Amino acid sequence: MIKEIFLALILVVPAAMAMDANSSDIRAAYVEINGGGTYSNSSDLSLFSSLSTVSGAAKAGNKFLCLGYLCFSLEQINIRPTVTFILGTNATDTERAAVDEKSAGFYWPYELNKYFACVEDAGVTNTPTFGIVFSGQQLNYIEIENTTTNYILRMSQIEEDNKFLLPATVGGCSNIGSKLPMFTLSPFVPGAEQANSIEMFLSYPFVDIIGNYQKSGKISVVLEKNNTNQIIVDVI
Amino acid sequence: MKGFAQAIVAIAITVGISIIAVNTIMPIINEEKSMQSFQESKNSLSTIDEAVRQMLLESVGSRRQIDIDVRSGRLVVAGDEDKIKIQMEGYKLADPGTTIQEGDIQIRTSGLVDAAEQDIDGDGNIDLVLNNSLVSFAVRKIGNITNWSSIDTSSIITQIMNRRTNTTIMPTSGIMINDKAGTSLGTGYTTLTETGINIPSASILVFMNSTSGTQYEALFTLSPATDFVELEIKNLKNA
Repeated sequence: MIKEIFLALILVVPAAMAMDANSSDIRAAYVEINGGGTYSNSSDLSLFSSLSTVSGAAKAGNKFLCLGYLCFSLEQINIRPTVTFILGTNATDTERAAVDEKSAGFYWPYELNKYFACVEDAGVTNTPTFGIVFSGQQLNYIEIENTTTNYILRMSQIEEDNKFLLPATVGGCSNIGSKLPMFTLSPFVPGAEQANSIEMFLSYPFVDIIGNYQKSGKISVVLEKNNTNQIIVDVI
Repeated sequence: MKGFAQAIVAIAITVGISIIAVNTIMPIINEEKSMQSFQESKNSLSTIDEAVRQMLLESVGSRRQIDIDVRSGRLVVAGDEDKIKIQMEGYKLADPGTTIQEGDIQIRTSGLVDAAEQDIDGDGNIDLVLNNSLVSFAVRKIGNITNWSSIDTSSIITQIMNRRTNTTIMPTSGIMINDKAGTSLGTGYTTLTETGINIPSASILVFMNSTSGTQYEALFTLSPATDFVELEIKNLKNA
């Protein structure tokens, strides 16, 4: 009797559930009605305590999502590419490496307050400091591997609007941390240099801009779309 | 006679006041002209940006012509960097090395950067070297746009020098897409986007056609008076 009630409930709501199973990373590719009984490869399945948990409980690694007799085949879609930069340095006795002032290890974004990895050498005057600082849109992870002779700094972020800063500054890792988050790009420790000129620019990391020109005065800028993501810029 | 002396004094006072007034007003006028030029340049870039973004939604072959007047500066189309810039002298908006974002326009206070090809580490191979007052950054020169050579991103950075402490590291490195080892090596080239002494900014472009089939560009940029190098991975294909 319970099975019948449950099946009736499923028949009333399956479309809604299939829609709910979709997200930017997961989709329910098709619906398959099994003949009943326990699914033969149940060790790979995740159990859900109630219907209400279906919409948000699937993991990318799961192959199927089942509600009683109704199973959805899941596949990963639209996984956003990641870019990873690695920086390795020799480790001396006075050097120390840190991720957001934590020790070497692997860290997801939720484990960190500030997104940077660095190596400092307090044995040298002014404590020279090198590292990788996140300046993009979405961090993936940060890792520092500490071998006997090297520190390997590794930072991964989502490719869209990615940016890494590679500091070569002074004052140690704490000094980098104190400047983050950096809403306006500026030196970690300013130098004495004066500046009386500016450069304003448009940056198109997702477009292939073709052309190399420098011109002053009255100019005609001719833009032509040559390919899906390619624009030729001519200056007359 | 007394009247003549009074007239002379009156003229002198009038001329004096005029000179003071002109000296006071001229900087204001010049400043307003500068601000006007600055605003015009920003407007020009905004117009170009709007056109580019519209065209990305249009079909191949779409075309725009934009007439602008860059009166106190120069327009730079930097294809290797995928940037369109206007460089202007005589402006101090913020501390050296600062980059301000205003909408889609980035404004960077400039100073001095050198970009040159030289054998920085004395190993007999040419390197692409960026220098400012605080940092020296070098990448090995590999191939060129028409003749690609083998590239392994684990060994492309020749050195990073902290000029304030005179500390140099010769790091191992690596660039990977989706953490796949096959994307860190392949064929391609490295090049300076601009060479010269005392230029507003400079970048090193690394083009990679990886063994896994993924193509991308890595752009290392050193701006004046900054103590860091910026790295962007762009134009990613077949990821």
